[in-house]
Order: sequence, then structure tokens, then C-alpha cells
Amino acid sequence: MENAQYLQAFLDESEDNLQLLNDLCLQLERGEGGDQTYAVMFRAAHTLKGMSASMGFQSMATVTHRLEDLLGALRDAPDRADSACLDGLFAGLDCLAAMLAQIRAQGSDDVAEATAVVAQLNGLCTRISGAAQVAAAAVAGASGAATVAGTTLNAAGADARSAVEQALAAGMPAGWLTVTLSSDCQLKGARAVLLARALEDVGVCLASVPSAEQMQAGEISGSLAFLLVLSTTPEAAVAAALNVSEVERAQWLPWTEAERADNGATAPAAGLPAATATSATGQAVPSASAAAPAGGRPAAAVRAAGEGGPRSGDRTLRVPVERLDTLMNLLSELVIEKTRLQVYAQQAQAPVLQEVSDRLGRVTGDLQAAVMSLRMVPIEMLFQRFPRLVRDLSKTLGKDIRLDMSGLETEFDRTIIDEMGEALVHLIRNSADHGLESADQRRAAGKPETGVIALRAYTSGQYVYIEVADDGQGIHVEKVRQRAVERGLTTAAAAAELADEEVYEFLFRSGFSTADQVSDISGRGVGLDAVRQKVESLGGRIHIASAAGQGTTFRIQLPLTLSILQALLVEAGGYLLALPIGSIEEVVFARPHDLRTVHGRTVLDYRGHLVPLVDTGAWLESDSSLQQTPWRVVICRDGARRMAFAVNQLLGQREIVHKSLGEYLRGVRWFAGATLLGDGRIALIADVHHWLSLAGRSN
Amino acid sequence: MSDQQVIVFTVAGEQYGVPVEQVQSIERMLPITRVPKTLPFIKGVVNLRGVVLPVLDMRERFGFAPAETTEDARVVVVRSDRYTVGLVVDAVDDVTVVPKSAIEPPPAMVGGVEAVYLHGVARLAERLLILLNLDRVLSDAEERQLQEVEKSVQG
Repeated sequence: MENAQYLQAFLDESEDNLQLLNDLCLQLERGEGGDQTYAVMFRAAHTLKGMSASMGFQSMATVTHRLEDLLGALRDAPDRADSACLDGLFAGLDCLAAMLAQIRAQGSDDVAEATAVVAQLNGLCTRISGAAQVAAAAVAGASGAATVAGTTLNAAGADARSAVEQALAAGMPAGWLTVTLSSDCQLKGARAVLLARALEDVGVCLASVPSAEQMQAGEISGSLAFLLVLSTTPEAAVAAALNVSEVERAQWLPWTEAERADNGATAPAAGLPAATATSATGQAVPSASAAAPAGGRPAAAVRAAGEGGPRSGDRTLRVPVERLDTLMNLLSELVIEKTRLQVYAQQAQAPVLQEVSDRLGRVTGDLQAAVMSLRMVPIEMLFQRFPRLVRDLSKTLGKDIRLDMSGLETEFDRTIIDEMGEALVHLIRNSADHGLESADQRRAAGKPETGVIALRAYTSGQYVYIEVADDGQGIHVEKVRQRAVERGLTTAAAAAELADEEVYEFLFRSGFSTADQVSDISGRGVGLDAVRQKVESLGGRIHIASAAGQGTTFRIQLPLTLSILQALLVEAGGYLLALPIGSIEEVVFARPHDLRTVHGRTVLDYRGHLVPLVDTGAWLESDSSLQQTPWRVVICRDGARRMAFAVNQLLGQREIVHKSLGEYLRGVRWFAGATLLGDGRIALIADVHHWLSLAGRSN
Repeated sequence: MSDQQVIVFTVAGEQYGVPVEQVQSIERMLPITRVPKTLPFIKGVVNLRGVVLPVLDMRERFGFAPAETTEDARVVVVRSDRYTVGLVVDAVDDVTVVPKSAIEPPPAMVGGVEAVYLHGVARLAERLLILLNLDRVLSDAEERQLQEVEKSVQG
């Protein structure tokens, strides 16, 4: 499907437009909309309709079309708008959001509620403007869709040559990529197919020499040449080709004026036979109209029209996160090479080399900071969906709720933004349902009837914080104590001894709930434990503060960036391990007389504290043990918990680049990831928090 | 489903096929870093041009005895619907086209591999090719790994 490469752009743009529509709907509901609001919304809906039709999502096009009709009618007769209209608009937007999610997940825009929503919008529209207008608009819409389909067909029928012309006209690079496989390559056919696959990521292949069929059959003598229209730069295409194993050389020959004058698409002058200018992969170059999703930058245009908004008119570029990840990967390799160079420069004692190495070090450092900053996005990206959530909660629960948001400009690592959404939804629901009292209760308590949920974001030191606070009833500490005892989590005597802070810990236990009634919104006891798990998986902490009658605050502390951290490198049981510095209290040497045995466990007498000691190598894998004394012992700390990890060797502190172990190993909780060392070896990054909780449990 | 192009590799004397679309690259053996507390057939992770990639031993995954890796051993980097992993195989043989007509539903067990992990078997002129269902092979092992983790947490 040719559309695939535009799908991401389509989804992103559509989500922007949907967000804008949602924001404006909320404004209207608050009675803040101006004369222009409906017009702006109409244009956004119109853009959505055009984009979805050109991408072939008919069901979505129909819904947006009805939405557009209704907004058009409202624009002409704003005084007829009522709450039923707004509910209809919201229902339409929800339906579109569901469709986008469906498209993202399965590539289809089929959602169950579409028919009902279309009917609802039709009804509203008829009521406001009369039936005739609707029918006319429907005909116009249908013919519009037909035109778009026709253009795409034309492009598919066009030959490679005109495709190249079109691409060049549209500013996309086109030309021949010549690739030489290494002479000892055993499976040339397989290699060629993998190469073609790799090139799909950088552009569209129009023709190749030898032909695709010949390549598959392994009929390859000498070089391979691909006629490509690139969605990226020629350098990136060459790099993509070189990235395939056993590719020796790759060279880019742009489609020049001279070749254009030549009659037909000719293979480069590398002694290759002339190419048949048929489409080798059955793919066609996108025509200008297929690129319509990008047309007109709807979101930006509409934003500029909305006056005084918080969004600045910055010139920005939308880049897929994967490309940033690629950049990060390349950079981390550069950092590794830089470190190697430093070592050699020191050994060689050559002042010039030393100077070059130092300067390279500085530039690399700056580059690292610059790339990291690319990963940072304002938390507004995440927060912007919450006004709508709170509005819905407010309606469902029948409570008057105001959402205050601050620190929207605070920047977070993109991964955190992506990962924290669900957790924050949990917390906000929790505050709305359990935290805030009913209007009657609030009045009785002498509080304003409108409850407030505050979302705050800020930076402090090496951490960023997100707070979800409500001005509700606070946590009933006694009730939590009682429930914990009922559930056998502690004894009545022990519970009475616990400080409030320690009592709150029970709230994070799986299945723990103090809600008297399970509601749709929350109270099933799922949630807080999942929230904590998510926060901890990102290397963060969650903390509760609560005061009876005044409210509850959840404070989430997260690392500023997830990608680069300071770590102590150690060796234990043959494993190279990186222990994040943040969780290390001290490194000490221990001799046998520093050890005690308590309840059958070895503990270390550390500054008057008895800290459980673990032989790390043996703990990770049973057939290893520590050799020489004194043992090198790393004292790790997490809150009040301490553990001593004995290791074979200390290899020093360094800055490491965090890499995931891969989606396949995401279930492995012992390690937070891995990092590459200067010599290409891999060190595993210990999930110290998890280690401490495991070691504490077997205590 | 029409004719399928597959990459053929050998594990414990049997020939297996994986659709070429699912193969990202074929590498010579790389140094593998073991990851403790994982299932035995998960050999560890490798540094593949700056990316950390999990590697599975296909012999052990299918319950064959481990063997010394030879010169011919390769890491086939494959992509299933959810995961990108490397598969250690005894040798990579060739690329071949499997006509749709040659594909038969798998018997309950082929060479120690259960039918659920297979798309089918292909009878070609001179050989029998076992077509792997990578999505199943990988997701199933993933689940086992997660269960194993649960056990280690509770135990």
C-alpha cells in the first residue's frame, strides 16, 4: 500500500486536529467561544475529512463529513447551539479518536459506534439547518472523494520515468544507487532481497538492474543498481545500504539533467545494461495529491488563527521518534570511539593527538547534550488531554470539578511522556472519585462546592516532578490501617505503630482498596499498584502526602533523562554490571570479621547498621563465588532499605548510555537495560530497586 | 497467500524456512553476553552495530541437545509482529520460492517441533521444508519467560 509512508503523518496531523477540536469544544462549553470558534472548528473538520478521504478511510470521512456539516450549520446559526449539540460534537470526536486508534492498531477505521454517531450528527444538523442543505453537502463530498481516488489511480499507471519527474518536481531526490556486494558473499540472492527491503525504508524503488525477479533467483553478476525516489537524503540511502551485511560499497548517482534529456530511464554508466523502466516492485511514486495529508499544515494554520494561545509560532519539524533513536545509537557509538581514542592518546603521549582527543571529547559532549534536548518535549503534550477527561469525570460523577494545570512548559524525555499517560489517568480518576467529596459534603465542611484537581510539573536538580493534587477529604489513615489488618497484611499491634507515611504504602499493594463501593471510575483496587510499577520501571518514585479534610497529593519523581546515566561498573560472577550511581551509598572493603550471621543470613556490620550481604555473582548464577578478601562491597540504598552487594572487581565510574534489552526481554526485571562499553562489550544495567526488593523478601 | 520466498536454515539436521520479509539480516556468530535469570534457550544479548539484540538458540528452543557452534553457524535476525531477535542456527542454506501448492498443513509433530509453531511443511523436489510461524514461536517463549519471572519473584 503506497499510503503506508504517509500513514504516520496522517495520524499525527489528525490527532493534532482532533486535539484542537476537543479544546475548542471545551471552550464552547465553558461559554468562552468567540464568533470565530465555529469557523476554526469547521476548517479543522474539513481538513480531517479531506485527509481521511484521500487515505481511503471512508467511514472516518463520513463521520468527519457529518461533523463538518454540523459545524457549518452552527457557524451560520451560532445562537441555535445547545448542550445537545455539544454532546453530539463530543460524541463525534470520541468516535474519530477511536477510529484513529483502530487505524493505528489494525489499519482499519471500522468502529462499532460510527453508525450511531453519524445518525446523531445528522439529526442535530437537520434540526439546525434543515434537510436540504445536508443532502447537497453529501453529494459534493462524494464527488470530492471520487476525484482523489482518480488521481491516485493515474499515478499508479504512470511509468517510472514520469514518476521520477514528478518526484524531482516535488523536491524529492531521485537517482541510481549502485551497490557492490563483497566477493565472498555466499547468498547473493538473499542479500539482494534484504538490501531491497532495507531500501524500502529510505524511498521507493522504481526499477533495478538486474530485475527484481533475477535478483530473487540469485542471477547476480557484479553490482546491483536500484532506481530510487528517496524520502530521505542520498547520504541516508547510502548508509542504509552499507548497513546491510556483506555490502562492500554503495554509491549514489543523482538523476541529472543529462540523463533526463536521454530517452528513457537509463542505468548508470557502470557498464550495466539499460534498465527496463517498469516498476520493479509494483509501487508507484506518490503524486502530489497523495501527499495531501501534509498539504496546508492544517494544525499550524489554525493555531496561528487562534489568537493569544499559549502555542508559539515556532518553525518546527516533525521527526519520527525512531529517527532520533537512530541518532542516539550513532552518537553512543561515537562516544565509545571517543573514549577509545582518549585512552590511546594518553598512552601515546603525543601532544597533538591529546589535543585533538580533548577537543573531540568536548564536541561530543555538546553533541550529546544537543541530541538529548531533541528528545525533550513539553509536558503539555501529555497534559492537554486531561481537561477533556476531567470534564467527562465531572459529568459522570455529578461533581463540579475544576482542573488547574501549571508548569506546562516543563520538558520531559519523550519516553516518559509516552509511558506516563495511563498512570496519570489513573491518578486523576482516583482523585475525582475518591479524593473529592460530593457537593453536599463539601458545603457541610465549609469548602467551596467546586472541587479542584491540580496537575503540576516542575524540574528540580536531576529530576522532574509531576504532582496530582486534590483539595478533597484526604486519606482516612485509620480506614487504611483497618483494611490492612483485615486483609492480613499486618497485625493490629504493628499497624498502630506505623507512621502515616508507612500506612500509605498499603495503598500501593495489588488489589488493595478502601472504597466502600466499586464504581465505574475506580475503586476496584487496580490502579495504584500499576501506577507505582510504571513509575519505578522508568526509574522514578511515587510519594503520597495527605491531610484529613484538606486533600491528597501524589508526587511523582522521575529522572530528567532516561538515556544517559552515571554508573559504577563492576564485575561479579563473570558478568559486567552497571550499578546506577543514584542508588549507591558507598563502596567499602569487607573482611570476614566484619560479617555476622543473623537468622541464618550473612549481614555486614556497616557503620553500626546490620546490612544484609549478597554475593552478587553467586546470587545471579549459583556456580560462582568470591575469591579474594577483602571483598569489594557496594552498599546500595533505596529509601530506608539497604543491601550490600559483594563483587569481584570494581571497574570505575563512568557515564553510560542506556539501551533497552529489546522488547523480547521486557519481562526481565533484574536488569533495567544494557550499555555498550568502549571495546564493544555489553554491560547489564542492574535494576537496583528490584534487587533490593527481592533481597528484602528472602530476608 | 501466494508463492512465498523463504530463507532456509538448518537446525539439528532439519531444514526450516522463514519468509524473507521477516528476515532483517544474517550475521556471522557474534560474541554473546549472557543475561542471568532468563530461560536456558535465551543465549543472551549481542551488540549488533550499536543495538542490543536478544539472541535465542533454536536448538534449545525446540528441545534439541545443545551443540558446539561451527564455522557455518549464523545469527538470523528476524522480526515477528512484536519482537526483533536473533536466532542462532547451525547454518543458513539458501533462499527458495515455495509455491503455495507445495505447502501442506503440518503433522502434529515434526522433528520435535509442535504443529502450533508451524505454518506448514513444504514438499519441494528433493527436500522437506518446515515453515516456521515466528509470531507463535516468539510470543510463546516470551510468555514462558514472564511466567518464569513470576516464579522467581514469588519463590
